[in-house]
Amino acid sequence: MASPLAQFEVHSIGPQLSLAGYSVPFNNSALWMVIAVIVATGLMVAATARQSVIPGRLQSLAEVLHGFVANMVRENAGKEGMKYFPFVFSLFIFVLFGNLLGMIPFSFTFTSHIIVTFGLAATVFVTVTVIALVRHGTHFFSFFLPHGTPWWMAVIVVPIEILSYFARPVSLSIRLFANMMAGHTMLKVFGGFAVSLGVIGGLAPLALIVALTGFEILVALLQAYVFSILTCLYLKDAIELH
Amino acid sequence: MTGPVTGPNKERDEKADAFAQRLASLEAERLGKPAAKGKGDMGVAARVGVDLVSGVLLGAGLGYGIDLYAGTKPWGLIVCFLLGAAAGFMNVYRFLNGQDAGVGYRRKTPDQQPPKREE
Repeated sequence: MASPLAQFEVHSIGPQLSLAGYSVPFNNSALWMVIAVIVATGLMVAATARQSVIPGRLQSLAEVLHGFVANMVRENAGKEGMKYFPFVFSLFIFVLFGNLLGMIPFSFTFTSHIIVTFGLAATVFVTVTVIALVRHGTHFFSFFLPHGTPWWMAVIVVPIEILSYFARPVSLSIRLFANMMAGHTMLKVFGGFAVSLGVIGGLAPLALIVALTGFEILVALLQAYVFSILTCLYLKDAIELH
Repeated sequence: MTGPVTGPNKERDEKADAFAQRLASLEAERLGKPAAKGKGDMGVAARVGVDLVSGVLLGAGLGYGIDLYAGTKPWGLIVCFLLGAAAGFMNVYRFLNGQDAGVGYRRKTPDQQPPKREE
């Protein structure tokens, strides 16, 4: 029987490409990213192709998605944060489609790889830091010394604050990757139980898989939401700087 | 005509009440008042756990790297591990205090209220 972790294996597809002497193969992870982008773009384009006052099914789906993210940005990052709405929306849709497409059997969940989620989190981190630096200049560095700290405490407080700032992308990426990987591994483990326990004994794990699949879809939605809401909170910090 | 309110009148009143309620809730939303948000306990648990671990991981990794390059064998790891753990705890403390992601969050003193959101 295949290992429960076999689903996370990355293998190259198609011709061996190379860039500056390094092999840069197109792999199944990249393939599913491309699929996610195509599906998301296709959905949005199709939904907005024929705009009507009374939205059809597709159009209202797109409207709900847009309204949901717009509300989230407005509530968590403030009115100023709406400038960065396209950024948050793209992130949300990419993570959401990555999570949901990963629920299709035999597909690949690219958000279950830490390098992918870390890439996304690092993008958020760099963007937010650049926005803060552009908006506040050197005043940004006052961020690392909480208001009212006695000077002799600064020696220990500043390193802690800097570390807790840099812990953001780490926790952001670990949260998404760990949730997706744990859930998908669990599904496969119980799938293995269902097969090896036979027709009668396997019914219990099978029932559990049904429940877990529903739970996994919830996790897929929730983690996309958490990822983008934290992005909003970081954006708010960068905009307001307290 | 002072009979008990019946028929269309009563219905209209009820409709007006429902409308007033909806208006009030929308108004509250518009003014940016915190809607009663139910943070699931599981979400809180997951966030706190990951935040704690990520601080420690980052500190340990940083310390290990410093040791590797500067040759200060145990000290970088020890100091950075402790700082990282403190940073992790600080993130969790802020999150549970409702200050959320803010690093270097200023404590709100009465004379230092955040500016009201303009419409």
